[in-house]
Amino acid sequence: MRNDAAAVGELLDPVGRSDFDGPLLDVRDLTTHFQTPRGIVRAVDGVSFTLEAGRTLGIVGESGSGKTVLSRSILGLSPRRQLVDPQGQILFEGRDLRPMDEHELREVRGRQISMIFQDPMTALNPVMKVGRQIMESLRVHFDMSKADARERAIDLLGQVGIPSPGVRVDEYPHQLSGGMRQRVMIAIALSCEPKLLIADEPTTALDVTVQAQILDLLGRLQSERNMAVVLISHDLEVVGGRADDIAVMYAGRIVEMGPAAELFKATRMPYTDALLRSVPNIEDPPHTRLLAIGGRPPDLVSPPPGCRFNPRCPRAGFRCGVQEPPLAPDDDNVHHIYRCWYPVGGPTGPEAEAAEARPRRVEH
Amino acid sequence: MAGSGTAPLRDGREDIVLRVEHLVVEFPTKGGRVQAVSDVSFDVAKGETLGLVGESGCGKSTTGRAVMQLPRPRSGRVALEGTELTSLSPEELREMRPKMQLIFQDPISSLNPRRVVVDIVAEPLAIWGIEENRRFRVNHLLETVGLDTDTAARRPHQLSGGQCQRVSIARALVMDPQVLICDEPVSALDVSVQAQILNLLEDMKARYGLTMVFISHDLSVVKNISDRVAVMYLGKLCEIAPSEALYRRPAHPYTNALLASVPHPDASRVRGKSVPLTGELPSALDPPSGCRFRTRCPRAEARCADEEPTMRELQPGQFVACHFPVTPGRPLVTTPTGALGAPA
Repeated sequence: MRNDAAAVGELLDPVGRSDFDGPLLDVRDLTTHFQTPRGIVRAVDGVSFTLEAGRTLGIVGESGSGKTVLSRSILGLSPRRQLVDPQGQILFEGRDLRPMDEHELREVRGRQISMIFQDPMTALNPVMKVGRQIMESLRVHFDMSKADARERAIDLLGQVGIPSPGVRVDEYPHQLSGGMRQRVMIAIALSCEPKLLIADEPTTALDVTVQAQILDLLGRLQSERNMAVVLISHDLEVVGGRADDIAVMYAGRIVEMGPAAELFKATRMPYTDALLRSVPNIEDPPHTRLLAIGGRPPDLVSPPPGCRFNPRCPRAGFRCGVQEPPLAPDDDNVHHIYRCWYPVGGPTGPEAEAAEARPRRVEH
Repeated sequence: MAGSGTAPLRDGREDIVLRVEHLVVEFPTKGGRVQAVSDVSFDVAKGETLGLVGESGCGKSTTGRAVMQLPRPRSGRVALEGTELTSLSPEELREMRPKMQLIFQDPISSLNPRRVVVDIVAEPLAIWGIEENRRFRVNHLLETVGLDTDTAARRPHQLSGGQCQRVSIARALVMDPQVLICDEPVSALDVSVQAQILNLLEDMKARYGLTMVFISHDLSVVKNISDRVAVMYLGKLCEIAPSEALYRRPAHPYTNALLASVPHPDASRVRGKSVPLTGELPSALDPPSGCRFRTRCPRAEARCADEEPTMRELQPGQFVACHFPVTPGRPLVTTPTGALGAPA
């Protein structure tokens, strides 16, 4: 992003908090590019946002939008050898995580910031009892005795709603159902009482009824601990009901961000609008025609010039293919920012450009 | 939940294309017999789309495959346009296969990675030795499903998930089938692509007069595409009804729980009113006696353990297998802390 990055940070910042002067997480102009045989992939390209303690930021995007790379970049989990010229700052309680080495990051990972991954089967160690996997981080970060850590692990399993935790603590991941495994993942992630939890598609592999249980559980634990959460999902509906603020990503960039209710009520960016309309609404009658977005997301090795959504945008004008719009605040609400020259609610690109062109023609 | 009984079958109708009666599928395992599908009956009329919803492990995919005789069910009857499939010889069954086609969830792994698109779509014609207009038919279909000639010469790994699913649809349609069984066809796709594929399926259905069975865990998707919806739980049918009716006034407590779990962007609308399901799905090796849902049902009583409910017609066209169905507008359960309402 350009010089508006810092301004954006301030915009989403409500009122300053007491003990720490500034937001818990302040990501500024983050850039994560990878070297691949095909060229440089611009997976995350200038992303800025802030997150206060106890709040939830939802990050929504389709596959390849950069949402997962963004979350991994925060924890320094992207493959370092392929990284090309990483830019930007990740300020966690004012300290920049980006230049930290592995040793320093280990103090932060798991302890201050922890992560829940999408697939609970592959994220857990299949040959280690779940109790030991929970105890591991407790023993590393708190130097707990084995007995204490075990007791704490059983306690945590109980807190995440696993029945008979005293028995389950000695079981292996394959003995648990998908929902139970995800609860174990949450227990591990919360074991050291982190200040920030990054949940990357935490319920995508789960059934709807289990999904509701897990999200309710996360919400409860979050408010009990005043923990900040970054909730990443491809599903706007999952994120919409749970996040305070939502950032929509497209092709490595944030294209629209604002308070959740505002984003749904007064959608500005045509991509967000299209995303909302392409999902079948459970309240519509059967056979309601869906408004599909034509085409495919761009190749991040060579993103299109101008606005990255312009080749698929039904509202795009000439300007959209030439000049990329800045991430600028809405006239009605400064907390609502988006990248678009011709936002939803106003004239489309061709309309606006025709209106602009008319007086010029008169002059000739 | 028992869902046994043939009440939902519409035997008076002339236009029934697919009729499934007392379908039972079991798989032998070391731990015993997995009762994947237990006595399921439904029918699908010409041009109709039947949605089959349920959570993983409920037997919806197994039902779809058993209808295709992949593998043959343990017992029960499956009739396609009046022809009983379960008693056919392998060769006779092979003759019937082109009339029923299946579309799978994972669009990339269900296509042969070593062949180009045009050959994949032409293969059914090649197998049946249909030479006439083969090129033309294949190219025409590829164009109909929205793939250009450039794509026809590519291999699956060079295509996106959505394009692969279009190829699967073209391959399924090339033999001009009567029935299309779609097993989670959009679950692996991004939402923007999902809408394209759902629209394409609707177009194809209208154009070729298809009858569809659409299997999915996604309640919004199923409502969008189906005329009627059947809800499955642990190998049994809970409820079957016209889509609108099922979503507006779900009668089975499990249907209510499913609908209450659907996330809604407007948090205040659904949350708080929902009664979340507790507990885990029981094992299909040893399902509960009586109603299979009773162990997790907020309305369960002693009768539910003793007596298996059978399908009965609650409203015209709405069949439910429950002793204590939910009445619209009345509380789902009453607890000491107050009534928890059923979702409207």
